Amino acid sequence: MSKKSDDSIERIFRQALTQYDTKFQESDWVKMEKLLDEEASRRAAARSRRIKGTAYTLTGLTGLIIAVYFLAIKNPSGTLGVLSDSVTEMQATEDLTKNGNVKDENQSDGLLSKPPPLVSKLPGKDGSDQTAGETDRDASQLLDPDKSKKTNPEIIADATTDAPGSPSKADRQVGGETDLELPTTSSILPKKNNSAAQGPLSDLEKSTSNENKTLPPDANLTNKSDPSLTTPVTGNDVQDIANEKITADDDALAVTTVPSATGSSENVTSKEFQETAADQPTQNTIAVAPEEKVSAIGKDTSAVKRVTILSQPEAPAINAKETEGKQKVKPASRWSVGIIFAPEFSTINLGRYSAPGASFGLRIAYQVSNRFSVNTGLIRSTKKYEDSGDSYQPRNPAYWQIRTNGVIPEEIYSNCLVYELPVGVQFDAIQTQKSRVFISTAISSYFMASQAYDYTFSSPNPGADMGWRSPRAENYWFSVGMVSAGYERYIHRSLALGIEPYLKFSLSEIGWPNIKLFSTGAYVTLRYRFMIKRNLE
Amino acid sequence: MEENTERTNTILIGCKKLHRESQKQLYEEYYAYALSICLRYADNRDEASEILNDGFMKIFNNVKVFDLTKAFKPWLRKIMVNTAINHFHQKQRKIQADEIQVAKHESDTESIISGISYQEIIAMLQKLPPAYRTVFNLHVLEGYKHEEIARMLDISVGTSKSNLFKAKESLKKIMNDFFEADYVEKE
Repeated sequence: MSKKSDDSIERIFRQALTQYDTKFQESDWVKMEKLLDEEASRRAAARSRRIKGTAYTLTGLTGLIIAVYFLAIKNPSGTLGVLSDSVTEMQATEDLTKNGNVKDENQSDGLLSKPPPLVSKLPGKDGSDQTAGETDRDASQLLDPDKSKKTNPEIIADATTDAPGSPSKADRQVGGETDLELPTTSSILPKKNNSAAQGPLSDLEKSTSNENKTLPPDANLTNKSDPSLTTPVTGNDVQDIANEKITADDDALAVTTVPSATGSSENVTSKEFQETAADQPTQNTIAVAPEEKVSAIGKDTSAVKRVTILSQPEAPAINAKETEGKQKVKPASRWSVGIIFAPEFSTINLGRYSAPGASFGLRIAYQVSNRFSVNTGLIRSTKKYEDSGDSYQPRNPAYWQIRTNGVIPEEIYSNCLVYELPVGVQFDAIQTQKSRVFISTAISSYFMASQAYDYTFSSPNPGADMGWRSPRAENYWFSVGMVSAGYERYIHRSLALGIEPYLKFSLSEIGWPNIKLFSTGAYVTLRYRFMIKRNLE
Repeated sequence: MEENTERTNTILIGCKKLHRESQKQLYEEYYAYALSICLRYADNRDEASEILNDGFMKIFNNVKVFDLTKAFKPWLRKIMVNTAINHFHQKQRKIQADEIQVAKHESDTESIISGISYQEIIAMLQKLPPAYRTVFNLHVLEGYKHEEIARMLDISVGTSKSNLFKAKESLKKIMNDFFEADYVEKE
């Protein structure tokens, strides 16, 4: 054939095909409309998924904002606290709750270690409210001339009713003591001073006050309290004494319900104290503030006064001892473990999300300093995401040509099982006694245990692969970064419950489709903090 | 470059807002032109309709990013051609199996049609094996070079040239059977 004939054919076809006269067929539009309807419903489904994703994210953020609000605005003083302090205090509280006073006694090896527990018990947990309440009650009773003239056993009985002092009550008070709200505590003072209850003058003033002599019962009562501040309790008898002593001291009020029993132990204590008092006059003097000595008629509010005294000028020094004592009690370990769970949304581009996968695992943390901790763990997560086929780049560039007739799938749905090994640093931005807000960053290694990809074509594609699956593990070391912020609150001295919204992003391309994957969600965390068990023998 | 008429732009604006009425107007307006392209690549009218609807779906999905200052018709043409090529890829395996069959069928072409018309030309084109037809369309009617065709169809340049040659040979044969044996020569 000649070139001329070739050109002729081309010309014929070019000319003929420009004069098209195809008529409109309504049936084609009907099919078109059907396609449009399907597309519209698919868009609606995708939109609802996006809305859900946004709602989850907003919920997490709202929770975080609320947490910050309550911590930083409603409780500004608390924000200044340092976790380690609050931790120490909290655990002291718990220790008391669990072990009662016996433990304190066991640990009281000397004068210095003994007083702190007493101090910690007295102030009252819920701020000074409780203490104030009790003080009021005490004061009111003491104001009653009849009551003030009661005999010793009666007074003890009164004290008992004042403070149905169960150990737990005393314990609760300890927690509040951590706040050491001096203004509140000092506000108690006037009441006590104004009242006739001047118990605190007690034995410390015995040597100088005649009133003490005229009120011998007071001696017993006060002896009962004071020794706890100063007594160098040693020996086996101490145990018995301490039990009673501390119980009574627990607020001077947490006395046993059986006056006679209390009385007997008091006598023992009293004797000991008298010896102690003679040996340790200085200690006693320290414990008594000048203004406390006003009208020394007092009786059973001595303990309360003592609290006041201790938390006043001498407070710093004694507090230091107190903290020291508490740390000896049962400090928190730097180690903690936690379990975490999150519904996780994964995506290739941040504007498109599919149904969430589950992510859960274990985390171990080590507190490096007051505010910094490092952590690692193992997380098992299911990454579910979908996107148009163009977003995926199979390792073999000719993959689509070979496996799907050269047609790139319109949609690819992915479902991968990944084990994550993150190594991260956490900074506690806001800390309070019971909670904290933190930010965290981590770098994570991904171990893909399995991958599955399902293709959807815009039109039937006979003979094409409908997906790709691999049970073969693939490792991507330090390939994913993570940033998060969270709020955590202690629900128990060792257990903290928290929420931690996060964003994970690929630092390099991962998986069979060589994608940069984003995952977002909010971990719900339950963290257990270890305690150092020592000094418990 | 031809510009869009005001009517076309109004319809396109409606399509951007996903108004079904505007979509139907656009469909009707460009139905004949689009189908004429699809028919050249398809084996038959049904397949051409399928390509047409797939192409229009792409248009409706992407019209929101279409620049109204640019001509719509070339854009539509390109989308239709690309959609046709996608269909070609989908059929590729099946096509290869059917090729021998079609080749046999060529020689049995019956000359029922009297005179040459658009429909007849289309019918002749549709008698070609898809691999030949696609290259012929892209090269002769769309004006693509062999290098471009090779890239688009994932074939070698040599295959593209070869297919074009074979397409022309086949068409001549078909036309010879259809008209007088010397029709082409006279032309």
